[in-house]
Amino acid sequence: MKQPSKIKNSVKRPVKASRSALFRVLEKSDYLYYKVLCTVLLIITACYFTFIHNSDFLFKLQELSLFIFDGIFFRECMQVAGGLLIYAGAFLTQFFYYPVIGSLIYISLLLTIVWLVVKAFHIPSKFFPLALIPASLFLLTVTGLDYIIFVIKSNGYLFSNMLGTILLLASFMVYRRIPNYWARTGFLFLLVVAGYPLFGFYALLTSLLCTIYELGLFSRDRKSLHFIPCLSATVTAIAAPLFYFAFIYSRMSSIDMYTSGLPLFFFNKVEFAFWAPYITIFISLVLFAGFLFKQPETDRFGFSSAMVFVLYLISIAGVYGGSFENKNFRAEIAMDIAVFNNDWEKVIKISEANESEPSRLTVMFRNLALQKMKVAGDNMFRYPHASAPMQARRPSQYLRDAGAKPIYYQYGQINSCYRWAMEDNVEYGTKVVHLKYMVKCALLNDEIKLAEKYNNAIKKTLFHRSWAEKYQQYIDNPAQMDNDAEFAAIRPLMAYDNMLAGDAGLLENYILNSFAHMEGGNREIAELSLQNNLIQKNIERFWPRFFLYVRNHDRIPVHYQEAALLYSYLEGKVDISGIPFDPEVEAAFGRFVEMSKQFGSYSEDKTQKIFKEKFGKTFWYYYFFTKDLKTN
Amino acid sequence: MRHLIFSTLIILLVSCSVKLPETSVMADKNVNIYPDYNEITLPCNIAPLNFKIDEKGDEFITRIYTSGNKVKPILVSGKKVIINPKRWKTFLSENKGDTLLIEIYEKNRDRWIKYPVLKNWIAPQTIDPYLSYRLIEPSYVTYEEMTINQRNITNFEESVIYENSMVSNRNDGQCINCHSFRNYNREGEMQMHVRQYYGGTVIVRNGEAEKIDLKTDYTISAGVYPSWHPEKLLIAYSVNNTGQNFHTRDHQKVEVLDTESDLILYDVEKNEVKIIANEKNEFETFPYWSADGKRLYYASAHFEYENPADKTARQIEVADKHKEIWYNIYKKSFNPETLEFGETDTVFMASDYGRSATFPRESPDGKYLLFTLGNYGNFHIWHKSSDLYLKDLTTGEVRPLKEINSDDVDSYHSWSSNGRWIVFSTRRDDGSYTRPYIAYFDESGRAHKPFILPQKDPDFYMNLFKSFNIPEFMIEPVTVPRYKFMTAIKKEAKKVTYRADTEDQKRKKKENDEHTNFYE
Repeated sequence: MKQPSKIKNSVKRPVKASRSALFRVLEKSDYLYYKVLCTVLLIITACYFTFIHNSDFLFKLQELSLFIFDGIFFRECMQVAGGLLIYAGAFLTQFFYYPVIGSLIYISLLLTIVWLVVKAFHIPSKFFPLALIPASLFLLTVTGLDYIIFVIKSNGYLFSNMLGTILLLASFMVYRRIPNYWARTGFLFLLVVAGYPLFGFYALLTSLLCTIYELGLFSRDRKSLHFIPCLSATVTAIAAPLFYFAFIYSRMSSIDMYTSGLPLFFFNKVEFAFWAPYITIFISLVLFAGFLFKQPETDRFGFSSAMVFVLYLISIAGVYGGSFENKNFRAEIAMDIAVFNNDWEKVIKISEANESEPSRLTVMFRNLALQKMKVAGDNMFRYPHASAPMQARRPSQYLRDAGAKPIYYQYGQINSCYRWAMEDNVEYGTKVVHLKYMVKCALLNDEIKLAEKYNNAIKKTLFHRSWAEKYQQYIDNPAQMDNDAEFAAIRPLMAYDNMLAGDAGLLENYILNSFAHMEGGNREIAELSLQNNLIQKNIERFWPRFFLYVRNHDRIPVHYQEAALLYSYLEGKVDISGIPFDPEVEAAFGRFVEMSKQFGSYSEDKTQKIFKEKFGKTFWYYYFFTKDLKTN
Repeated sequence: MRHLIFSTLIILLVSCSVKLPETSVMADKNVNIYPDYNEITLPCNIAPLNFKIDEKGDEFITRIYTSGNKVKPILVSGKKVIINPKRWKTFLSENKGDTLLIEIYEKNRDRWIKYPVLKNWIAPQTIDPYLSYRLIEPSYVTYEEMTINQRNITNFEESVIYENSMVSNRNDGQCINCHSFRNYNREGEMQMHVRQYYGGTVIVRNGEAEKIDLKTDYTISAGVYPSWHPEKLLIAYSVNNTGQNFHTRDHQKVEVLDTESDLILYDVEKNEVKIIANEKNEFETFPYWSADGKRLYYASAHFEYENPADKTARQIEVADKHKEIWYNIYKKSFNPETLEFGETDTVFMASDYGRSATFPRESPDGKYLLFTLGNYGNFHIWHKSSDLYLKDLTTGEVRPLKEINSDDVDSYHSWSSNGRWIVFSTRRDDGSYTRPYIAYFDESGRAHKPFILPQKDPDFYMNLFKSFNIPEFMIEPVTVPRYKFMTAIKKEAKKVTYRADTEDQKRKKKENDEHTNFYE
């Protein structure tokens, strides 16, 4: 059987004098400079969209993944077709613990795909940018992710599809080199039967690509023997998943039979944007197969080459345009990482640097940091209390998805933190960051054996071992927990009585209500209760907590003074004559009252604008002008 | 290939060449092993008791032998003691009724120490060869992947009877629960519930699976806790209106509370449902047939609502007073010929002691009743106070099974068909994940120290993030293939008919909000 050899146009046409020097440079050394230029553009883009611009995001993705060196984890991965890709993808994802290292691995895989595309399809040099398009689209599959990262159950997502594509290209190259029909038939049979459990969809796609290639050969030589591998591949690709589904796999859903190994996005219009890069990649690979049968007549850079270059630029532009660039999203992720590390100043810094209208999560993280730094009473209303929506394609309770674990934990609602870590592990797959919260919760709850169970799993990871070693010391010697500053800050907030409750996923309401309704308790709880009643604008519950605070402290924070002055003025019921207000606060309140009288007849919008300028960082402004906050 | 043969030979030589140290010093403490296989009574047909030595030595050698020395001792080297299954099988069958001794040597630098010998007794009675259970995370509301499995406990073979993923899509999933078998699955009759997506109750018999809709307009819910009649094709169910709450500080994190519950009888052949018990102000639940099928045990709590008409108020009231809800154990006589129930008899008034009793299980010989006793409520699988109690049905004496109980949850239990073994679920290992423990129950009515279901890898339980839920013995495995379950589940459920015996039973139940019912 004669295989089509790489077709090259051996007839060099004389270069016209009119052709520009640029074109001649491009064509030099078989387009070497052109290829380098295009590849460098991809590398720069990839570097920018990985460790330069998305360092925290990729670190977070790594935290939302898990790879454990043990048999149970391997078997878990292998319970669906394509399990080996998940396993290998999860292994590589760990390296984003160091975003630069993870990015370098990621970029080298992108370049591997480029090289394989060129080799597998004999992409002509003048069309070289075509080979870069799948790689650039793979970038988009990562940068296009939004809040869905918290709810998608695709461990190893970052790498598994790239690995699948590499396998596809490599297998296709091998297939093309097999000279015999029967051997090719056998290869395809094995590829599907043995490859489907390991590579899932990608084994099936490879067989489809090989079938198309075989049909291409038939169109050239009209030998009906080409139908043997075609038929074998088609029958096996249809039957093997059915067989595996019916008799081998119980974990796999019937709807995933032919797509197992692909990400678990929904097949709907809203999530089509997530699928689009993949669809484009797969279609482009099939189209590239055309070069194996028809090569351009000339090597010269012409209109078609220019169009290919433009297409490449469009794909690069697509990465820029299609990436999820939401400032709150970025701020929340960075704050979340800082919260985990108890870096409260960084949390404040990130909130200050966030130029967009804040989301509830950024506000909650900021308030948490202020509470931990014991400066909330002076600062909590100096930041806009806004509720910019958490924009995501797939609807979910993202405030809870992203915030429940750190917020509940840090506020001492240990059972709630543990609950959501467990719930999310169950629904979206076990994540290393959830296991860490479970270790900490179990320790704070004195459930030492349980802490050990989770910690043992973390000890089997590559980069989180040292974290686990620290907590192993607490497991081995619980008395050492007394010296832990993080635990010391949380324990006072846990001093409340047990009750039956449920948050129904409404994180902020639950936190606010649970502390706002607490009566008495230690200083930390009493002050938090006071703060939450300020946020809830509840006058009745404010007063007893305010007076309790005044009795126990030498200085009254500004916002508490502001609230007392305002509530007393509004209601005239409570005597505050004995309260030592700061003269500046009293003077400011006088100005506030004066201005209220002065601009009382103005429209609300206009008044808000005027007051924001003068009193935007006071409780008074929050009380009158912060309305209709949306939380979930 | 040559390398493979060579490696195999080396391994064989090494394993054959395990020798006991010639000299050793006696250790002054007991050896720690996991799982704890010391002073237990084991069935003569159980899988190998592989274990891990929890000591910090350089080398370990374990000798397993019997006092009678009928067969050659088993020698294993290493920290993980993995026993050859064939040798183990012979070892047990040849040493029925003998004492199994485990001698562990530990080498530290050049010095060998020998720990005091661990002693276990090999009971001559066998255990039912199969155990079924649901594997599920100790989760709260969410669920994703859960399986109902069967394990051959005479070896390590485990298979999935059914997994919920098969019929779920990315948006909608199923909860599968309450697997139950008639007469230890001797004749292949089984039932399980499928909740939410493609919901219904799957009945398996004659090698086929069929989905039934047990909800009627006259009953509170579809069937919940099942019990197959040992002889007839009848299933007694509780029907419950159930909600979930969470403890904000307690270690027993989840609280499941019924706001109402009754008992129904489902006639499989007639596809007909009728009421067994639906007393006003009574929460009847957890039905269980006696071994002869002539009595139906159940648990029931008396609760009077202040505002019975308001569903939300009822839920709040139950949550507020949850520590004052105490279930007692009752029984009703049953005529298998007429399918009629007699009057209610009290079996154990737990409320008299300010406690709550659930899961009544009569022993196969009819002499004992095993049940769970906790401080309140019915969700004892999460209650730390929950312990197993035994009532001697001849003398009426009730006592805690101290031989079995732990400080943590000891709950769902099942008798083996010969009545000599009890399997129960407990959270004693880590306070959160339930594990199946097996205990010998001797003829004098005394339980022996329980042991965890043996696994091939001693680290298995430490690495597994799932609970073993509803462990049930089986004599025969389920042979219906999974795709038959799937096909049945995808079909429209067959609606049951309802038979009312009294005028009161002809009254339709008010609407039940399915979304608030935990079991719907």
